[in-house]
Amino acid sequence: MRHITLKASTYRDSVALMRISKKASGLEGVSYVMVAMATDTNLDLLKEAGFEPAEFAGAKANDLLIALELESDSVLDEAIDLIEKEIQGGPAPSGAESQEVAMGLDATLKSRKDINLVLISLPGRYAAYEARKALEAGRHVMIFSDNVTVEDERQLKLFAEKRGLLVMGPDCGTAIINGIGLGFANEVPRGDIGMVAASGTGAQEVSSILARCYGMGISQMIGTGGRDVSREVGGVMVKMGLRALIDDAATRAIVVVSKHPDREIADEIIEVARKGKKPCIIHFTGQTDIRSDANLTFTRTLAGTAFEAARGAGKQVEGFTGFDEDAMGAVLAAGRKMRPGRKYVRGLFSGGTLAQEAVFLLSDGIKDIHTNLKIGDFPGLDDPGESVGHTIVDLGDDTFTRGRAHPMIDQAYRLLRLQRELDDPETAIILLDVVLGHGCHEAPGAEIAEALMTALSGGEEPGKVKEPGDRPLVMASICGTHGDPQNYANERRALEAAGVYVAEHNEGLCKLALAALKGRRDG
Amino acid sequence: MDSGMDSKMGSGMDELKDLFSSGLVVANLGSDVFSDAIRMQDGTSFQVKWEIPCRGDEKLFSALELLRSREIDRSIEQANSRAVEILNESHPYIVGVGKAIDDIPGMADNLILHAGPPVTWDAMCGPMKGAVMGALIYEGFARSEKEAAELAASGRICFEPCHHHGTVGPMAGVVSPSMPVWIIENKTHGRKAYCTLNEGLGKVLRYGAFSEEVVTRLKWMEATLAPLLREAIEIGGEIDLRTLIAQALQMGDEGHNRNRAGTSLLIRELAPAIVRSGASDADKAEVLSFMHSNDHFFLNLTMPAGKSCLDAIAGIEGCTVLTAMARNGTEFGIRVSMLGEKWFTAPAPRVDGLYLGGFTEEDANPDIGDSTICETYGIGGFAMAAAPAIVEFVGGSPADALRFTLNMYEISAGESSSFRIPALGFRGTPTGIDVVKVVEKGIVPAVNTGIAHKDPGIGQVGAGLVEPPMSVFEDAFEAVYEHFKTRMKEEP
Repeated sequence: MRHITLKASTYRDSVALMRISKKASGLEGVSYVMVAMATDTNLDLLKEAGFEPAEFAGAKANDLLIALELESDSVLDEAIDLIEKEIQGGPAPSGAESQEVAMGLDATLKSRKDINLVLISLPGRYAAYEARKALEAGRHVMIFSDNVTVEDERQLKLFAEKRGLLVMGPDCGTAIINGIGLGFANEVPRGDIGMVAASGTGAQEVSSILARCYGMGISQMIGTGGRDVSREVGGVMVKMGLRALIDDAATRAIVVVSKHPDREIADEIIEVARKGKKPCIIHFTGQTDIRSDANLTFTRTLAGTAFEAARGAGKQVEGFTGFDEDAMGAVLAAGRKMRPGRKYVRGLFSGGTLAQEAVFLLSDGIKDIHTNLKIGDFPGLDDPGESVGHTIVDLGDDTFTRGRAHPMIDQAYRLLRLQRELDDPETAIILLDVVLGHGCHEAPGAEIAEALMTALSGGEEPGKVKEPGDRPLVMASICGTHGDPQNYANERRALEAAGVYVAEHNEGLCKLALAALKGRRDG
Repeated sequence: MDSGMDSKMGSGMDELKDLFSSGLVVANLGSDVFSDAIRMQDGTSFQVKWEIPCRGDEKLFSALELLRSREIDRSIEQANSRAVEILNESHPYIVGVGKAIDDIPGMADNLILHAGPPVTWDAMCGPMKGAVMGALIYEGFARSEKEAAELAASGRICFEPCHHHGTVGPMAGVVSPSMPVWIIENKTHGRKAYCTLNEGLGKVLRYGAFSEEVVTRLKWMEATLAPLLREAIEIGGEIDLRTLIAQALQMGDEGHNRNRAGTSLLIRELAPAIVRSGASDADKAEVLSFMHSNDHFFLNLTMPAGKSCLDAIAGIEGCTVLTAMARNGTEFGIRVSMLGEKWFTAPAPRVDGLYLGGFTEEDANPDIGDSTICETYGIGGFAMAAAPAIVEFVGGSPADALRFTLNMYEISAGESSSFRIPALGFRGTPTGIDVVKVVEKGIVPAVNTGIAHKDPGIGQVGAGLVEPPMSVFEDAFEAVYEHFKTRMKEEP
């Protein structure tokens, strides 16, 4: 059957009507549909489709025409209903997000002039490419990504320096700008200590201790990526960051934390700091030349850096916090009870700077520490997956993160390795860093605690049950604050419940380890 | 280093001071974990949409890295900015109505112009052949379809693209010597452009129809419509097209697939002069009714307006902005400013569309027409956000239309200073398609267009969206790359 409805003086745009036609033609039993304005052209089409002019006599161009050819009467109501509804209702809105569309970098930067920093975590090659564009557009940049070539890094930084822009990174894990943590950053209050950091976990450790132990806050924390202090890059961003903090009225004392820099670059950095007059605490990992010199203080440890920074900013601090005499006594005793065959320290670190510091501090008491960190004269590891004697591994190294997330996010490998060290009859002490903060694993300490509980209770294999007193001591330090999303107190409690000795900071952790080893030797 | 940078150098730490003293607003490129973390701290972070550049093609990306290296990037940027400036300065007017043979440069008695890049008679699609035959009959060169086909194949008739003669044509775009044409002049740069008068909807030459009624209408246009329009412009004066298009865009047109407002505005401009002309009342009424009955009458003005402006940016050294996108129904082609007159082509794509009653995809011819000059000019699909009435093309809601236009800013060198979109806070339309950005972003220009029946003589069957073939942009991109590589060797 054929059917025609004319709706007098009802205008709808032809495209909307075509869509309605298309929809109605999808109905079962509908063989022809035209929903259109009754223009001469459309009426001609209708004639060609076999409709008689008498059927649409009197139709005017401003009338809306519904023409249907149906296999039976039964679908007529349904078809008309649908068409009417479409004509009345218009198209359904598709999502309310209209204005907040995600756009590409160029368009985003063009339409949001207030964006002042671009944070990049893309595969290395593309990171440099996009960073260049952000700089061209006059924005500061933080590159979380690694695998950016040193030449790209150099060019980006020299270009940025000329325009007074920051390039934090590549491989910059953390920064705090105007109180907002970027990348892996701890929740610390705003305050008057400014930081320049060529080291991610080093900066986290110092800022966390300042917040947690001394109630001190950070004005700005400028990350630079570890390679900034290399000869090739020339410390461009460390020096620039330092100058900015010297100029910054909200910054009272300045901390420079860096993995060991090139000698010449170190001198240049020190020179900038000296001229700045503000109290400046300088910590190059592994440095032994500890001294104070006018406004400069050189420190050996991260915890010591935090302590000096608090003092530099005018805080009356009672003494160096973080060494628990009771815990020292306990590990000394525990060390004495250990089976003679257990003699080695095994450190499984997620933070590179924390691992470095551990190597340096432990070397006060033990010799021949093997490590995958390429530092000093310390022997390397042929296979970073296998511990040899005393071993400190940085699990955030490329060899471990290829095709796997960073251990601060995903601890699967660390837990596997933990089990292996527990099973090794020569392991005396296992050291762990538990890093909290934005972007990090949601409960790394609790996860380690759970794995330990399972392992030490023997798990599925009764043969592996350890004799009481014959198991490695597990020690950890927590890098984090009470404000961090993970809940510092819960993390600490979980670790302690699993028999872990928890130190206040990385330096404290190393002291504990040395105390336990002393107990081993005495016993 | 250029002066722009030198002036920055003196400012030293000002940029950092600004950063420390204002709110941190982050654009996050990569893992959204970091955006979430920033928002958790009550900070502001915009998650940026990111796709691997050049759709992951290593070879293209290496070329892109060279093009984005400082010196070259800067010279492209400058040339492209200049092109956008020229487009924005351009001021097209309707200056008259002429005749193809008298006015179009290089027009000849045995020459037929057609849409798109060059194409031979043998390779022409159905509607293009239909239009050519219709034109030959209209000119009196042939009396029947058979005669016309034989003549067209005989080699006695030459075929050249409209674009080679300062002309553009919708759909088949066929222009023969006697046809009346709009004469448009970009007054700023003294560039003229030409386009036939729009015949209306249904069975029309541009869709390949050539029946008697089609030829009769063309004759009427030549004998009545054109002279009257010519006289009206003489009486009323030249008409400012840039302003008309700008107004139409604020009245729901996008200038390519919706020209209802533009057509109405044009009638308002012309009507008093038409009334004052010496034509008979019957002719005056017929001409006004003809324009009124055809919502696309204005399309044949937006197109040559674009052409007169885009021709002004042809051949700028280092400029990677497109000067033409055009299809002949067989191939889709583009031209790039710095690459001069060379066409980069690929087979014309299918149109994803909505169909007039009774027609389906089966009936559709591949994409055809010079009307993509609109998008090249920064209107049409690029101004979709201005035309809520036709949002069905892009998903159905005004929000979809906004997204559609916003996406085009990604591949454009600049923004129009005249054509503004109310729904985007009167932001200028994305203008000047940059072939480097197209390849970098993997986003092809958005085009909406009419659909012709694949057989000659039937006409329009629908309208919809067409996705231009990426390969033409990639080919042009590689030519740009080769050009700069050579230039680098010459001036080390």
